[in-house]
Amino acid sequence: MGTFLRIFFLVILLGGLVVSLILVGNRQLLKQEAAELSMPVLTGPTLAPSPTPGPDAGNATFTLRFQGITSSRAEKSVRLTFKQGEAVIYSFPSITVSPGATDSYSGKVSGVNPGAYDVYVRGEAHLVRKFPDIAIETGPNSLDFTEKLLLAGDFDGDNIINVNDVGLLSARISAAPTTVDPSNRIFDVDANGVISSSDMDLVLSNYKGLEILGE
Amino acid sequence: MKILESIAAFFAFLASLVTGVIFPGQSKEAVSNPFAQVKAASIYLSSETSFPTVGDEFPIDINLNTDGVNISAAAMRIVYKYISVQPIIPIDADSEKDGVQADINVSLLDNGWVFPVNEVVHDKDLRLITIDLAAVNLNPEGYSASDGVKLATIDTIVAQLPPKFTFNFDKNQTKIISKEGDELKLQLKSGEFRVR
Repeated sequence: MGTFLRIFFLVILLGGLVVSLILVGNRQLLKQEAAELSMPVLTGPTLAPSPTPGPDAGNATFTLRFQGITSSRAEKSVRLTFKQGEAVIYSFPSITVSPGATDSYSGKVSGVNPGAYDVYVRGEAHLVRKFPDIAIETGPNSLDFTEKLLLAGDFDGDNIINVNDVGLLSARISAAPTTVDPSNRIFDVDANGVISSSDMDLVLSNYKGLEILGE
Repeated sequence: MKILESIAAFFAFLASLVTGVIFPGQSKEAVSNPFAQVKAASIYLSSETSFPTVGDEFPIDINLNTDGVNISAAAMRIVYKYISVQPIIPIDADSEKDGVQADINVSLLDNGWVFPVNEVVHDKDLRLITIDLAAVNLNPEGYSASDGVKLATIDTIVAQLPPKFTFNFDKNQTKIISKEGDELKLQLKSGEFRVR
């Protein structure tokens, strides 16, 4: 009888421990799920695979202009997103664009299946611009995005120009012009090699309301 | 002895349950305090006119105190919601610009300030007056003040007399940015002005 009772209580004790471990595990899982649910929706790099380019996929060379850059300077990078309706079909998170002969830059994307797309273009510190109803055909395509400048001043990448962006730029402006290096080059809005009041002037020319939204 | 064993097992069972329910994964929760390194500054409203009456001019000053911190910019949205008849009429401070403007403190212009955002919008359907103002200091060293400084004045004329005028800040759109680029912790004092 004594042995039976000892085994009985031991089973109860172990049962309690198992239940507590299950509860702890469930809570951790719930926390992980909640954290995943609260993560922002990524509009940048496509995590899901893009459609596989078909045999008739097209390539596109595009040209664009950045606000404040009146003569082409060093290479820059842009993000291109191809949408149909609200669905992101292709996302090119970092396309290098090279300076052209004048104030325009050009770049190239490939592997885009034929169709009509709304193309969204974002510079490193620029609001997103939407170019609607862009037709991609099989083979080479030439896209001209130069009619609308990419507006500068979105340094934190939230597609809004507001006082936070102005403050981020101001923090890089000192009495002596700040030399550009890889860590701060997005603040050199006019790409003249220094971060100075001329960059601030450009951003303030866009800061006409408390929040200026990209497209 | 058996009784003691049973009591011990029961409490062990309870303790293990409590451990799981009350303290799950506690050691993994290292929540950072978002205000650990922020500083205090304030934006507040005041008026030289204590008890306005109908037909009086009723200026409302927008003031800034950086609490000694160097700042680079401030943005604010002030809203006034009324119930029935519009009690105050905003006066445009600059007829050369579109819309209705607040009257900025011109003495600040010589000290490196610019006001890229300045608009007073009256939505008659919502019975709402909204004042958006942004001030940026272009001095490389920033701007610091331990005493309040007037940024701008909203000039109005009293058309009706409610028991009080209450102007509130939109906390999501009201910010002060330090010269280092950080958003400061803010103390906002709404403007509540009583009438006779």
